[in-house]
Amino acid sequence: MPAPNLSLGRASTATAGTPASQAPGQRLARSLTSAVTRHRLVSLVTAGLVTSLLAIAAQWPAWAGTPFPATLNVLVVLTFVLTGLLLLDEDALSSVSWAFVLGGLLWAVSWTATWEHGPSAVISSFAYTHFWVCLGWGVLRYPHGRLVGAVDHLMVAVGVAVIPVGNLVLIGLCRPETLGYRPDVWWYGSAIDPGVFEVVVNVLDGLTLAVVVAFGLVIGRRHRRASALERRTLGPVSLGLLAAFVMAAVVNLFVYYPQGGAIDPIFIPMAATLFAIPASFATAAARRHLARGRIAQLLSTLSTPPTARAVREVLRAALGDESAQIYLWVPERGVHIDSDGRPAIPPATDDTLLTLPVRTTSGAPLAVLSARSSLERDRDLVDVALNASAIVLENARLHAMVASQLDAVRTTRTQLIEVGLAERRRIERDLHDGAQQRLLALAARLGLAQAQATDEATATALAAASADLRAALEELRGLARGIHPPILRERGLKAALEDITGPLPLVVDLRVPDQRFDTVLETTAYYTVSEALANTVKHAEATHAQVTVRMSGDRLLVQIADDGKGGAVISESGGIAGLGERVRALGGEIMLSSPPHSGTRLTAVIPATTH
Amino acid sequence: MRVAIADDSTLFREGLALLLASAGVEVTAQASEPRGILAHLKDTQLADTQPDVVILDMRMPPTFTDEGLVCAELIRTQHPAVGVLVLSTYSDVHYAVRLLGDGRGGMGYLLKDRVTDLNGLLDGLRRIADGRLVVDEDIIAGLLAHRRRAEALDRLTERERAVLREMAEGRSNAGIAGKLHLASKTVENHVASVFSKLGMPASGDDNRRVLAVLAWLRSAGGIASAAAPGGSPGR
Repeated sequence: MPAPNLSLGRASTATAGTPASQAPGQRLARSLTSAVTRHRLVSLVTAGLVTSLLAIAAQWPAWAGTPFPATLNVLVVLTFVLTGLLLLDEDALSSVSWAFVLGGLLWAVSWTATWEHGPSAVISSFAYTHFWVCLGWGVLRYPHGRLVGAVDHLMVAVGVAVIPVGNLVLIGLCRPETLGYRPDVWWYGSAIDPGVFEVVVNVLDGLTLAVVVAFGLVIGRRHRRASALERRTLGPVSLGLLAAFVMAAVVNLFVYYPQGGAIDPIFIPMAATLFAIPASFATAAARRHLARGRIAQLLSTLSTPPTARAVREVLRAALGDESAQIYLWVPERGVHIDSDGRPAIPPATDDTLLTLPVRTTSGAPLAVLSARSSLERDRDLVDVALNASAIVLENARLHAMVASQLDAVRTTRTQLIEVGLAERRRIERDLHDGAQQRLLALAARLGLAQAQATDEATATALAAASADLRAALEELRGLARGIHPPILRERGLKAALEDITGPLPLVVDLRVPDQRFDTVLETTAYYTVSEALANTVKHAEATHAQVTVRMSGDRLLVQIADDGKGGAVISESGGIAGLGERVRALGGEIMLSSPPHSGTRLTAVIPATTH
Repeated sequence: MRVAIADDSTLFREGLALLLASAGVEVTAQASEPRGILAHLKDTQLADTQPDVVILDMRMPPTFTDEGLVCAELIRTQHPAVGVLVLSTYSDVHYAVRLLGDGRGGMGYLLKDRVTDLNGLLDGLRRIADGRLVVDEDIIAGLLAHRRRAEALDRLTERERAVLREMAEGRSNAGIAGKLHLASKTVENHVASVFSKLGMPASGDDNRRVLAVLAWLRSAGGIASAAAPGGSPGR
């Protein structure tokens, strides 16, 4: 990809740039990042060439005697710089990538010791000690992109104090030959008492080891607190870095710094270990890419129509957070509903929870995701997951809304029916306990008056009143039965149907099970049969009827068939139409088959699981 | 005659007590629920002042369904000498059969409406106290009206049907003779004729005869299974 010269120039500056102070440094890093990512190939080639030349030049005198470790060093430098640049646009890793670029350059510079001339020894040891601090600082910045908390800041401060500053102090307390450099290199220190110097060296060695151990503890603690998703990237990075640090601390016990015209073979295993660091970061980056692919794949395998619960499960798997919840926003109702369709209030973001809005493609509120707050540091991945799932969620919401509306309508209709039936039962009870008992008490008193009546006229009048009262009681009983037959409540559908079919002027064959059903079901079946039979008696001219009630799966089938003249229709204001409404309100269906001259068959199918 | 009454309707219970008292019946106790009447029976058991008949409302607390029946069954086992009359607002053949079940007599099932007919009521109470069975005419009328039975009943003469009705209501031959103004001998002939025409097993025991007639009336209606006591109203 051909690139204009201007950008090439800017990109090469990038590789040599050093974040000086915090704020301008970050600004610089940002602009460099955008430049490098825009012209990646050019940047990488340029940076590779420049850093290779720098590394070759820095250890120039060593090429003759120790070409193998020298080559290894060039590769270490190249790997650090190129990996750093490659990871620049990995959101969570960009904080580390600049530390890598800088670290690669410091590693190259640290080999200027091989020149054994001028200030090379001081420059080399300065670069070498800063290399380690730079790596530690970079890893501590991951994944927040900055140092967070007193522990991190203290760690870096102590690291700088013990390693580079300790080294500067050491140089100030001896001559170059004490540390193995040529005596004629530029040097600012002068020797002190060898015994005291030995103590200082041992103290600094011990402190260095302590810093490495503390760093290991800090990284371990962070690993324990990380989200599952973070661990996937933090894990290999921490391990690689710790390995290198331990190696450096061990090497430090034998040789202080790169020195002399040849490279000490002890740096061969160290350089080899250093490869592990960029390699581990590359692995982490690859894992993140895999995670993204995984989210997309999981979402594509969702069943249709998708449910909010299914999307939630995918997000849980993708984000490695089993506590993640999805709250769909239902604008019609002005509430959020959880994955089970129940109204719910999404929790607010706090120390433990991260809540993120999900929007539709047009930007309208769609849902809220709540997840462990540690996922904040993987926002890029979470965003990918949410973007990918938005359209599926929108679909799920539509589905849930329709389902819940349907559910609400059904519930309301069922409730209306139940209320109506309960009301009928109540009226029957009230009649029984109130008016009927009152009239019966009156009947007893009338009986008493009759027994005590002495004159003929009174006795006759009382007898007439008594007869009227009996008729009234009979009527009231019929009325109460019609409102809600007590026999249905007390003894069930079969007994109640036997009761009403007995006196009918046609032979009714009842095929009804003895079992009891739900009150609403029994009542609906009862009225269906009685209404249908009333129609048969009125219009069908039938001599036989057959009533069948049976369970068919989870539905109650009620069928009334007669051998009458047929040709019946469901009139809009008729009793059958009303029954049909009631049956449909319970989620059932009513069907009429009445061909002329071939009898009439009314079938009702009522779900037995509505309650 | 001594009578105790259990009914949750105070108005009706007191009206009934007054009515019975006017006819010289001694009302030994009134209760609004089964427990009170059972306690009364227990208290009077040794004193030899137990009521001859206990009148029970069918629907009483707590469930207002068949408390009268349940209480009657308890009295039957705990105090076999005490007769029971269950009064009900509705007539229900299933309950009647359940109540009269074992045919041992001393049981009755009447509509509450019968309080308008003091003599009928007293007659029923006396028959129960005598160890007979009493079934409300409304129930028998309902059974006789059943379409299914029409064909078989068509074979009976009108007089025979009247005799059948009285038999079903629990009357003895002498009782039937008195009610229908017939000679005892004539009643016996009609009874024999009814039994043979309907193919019922003849029975000398009046109480067994009531049950046989009821059983026939119900089974001929194609509702034999309803005779099985399966009526515990589950909910």
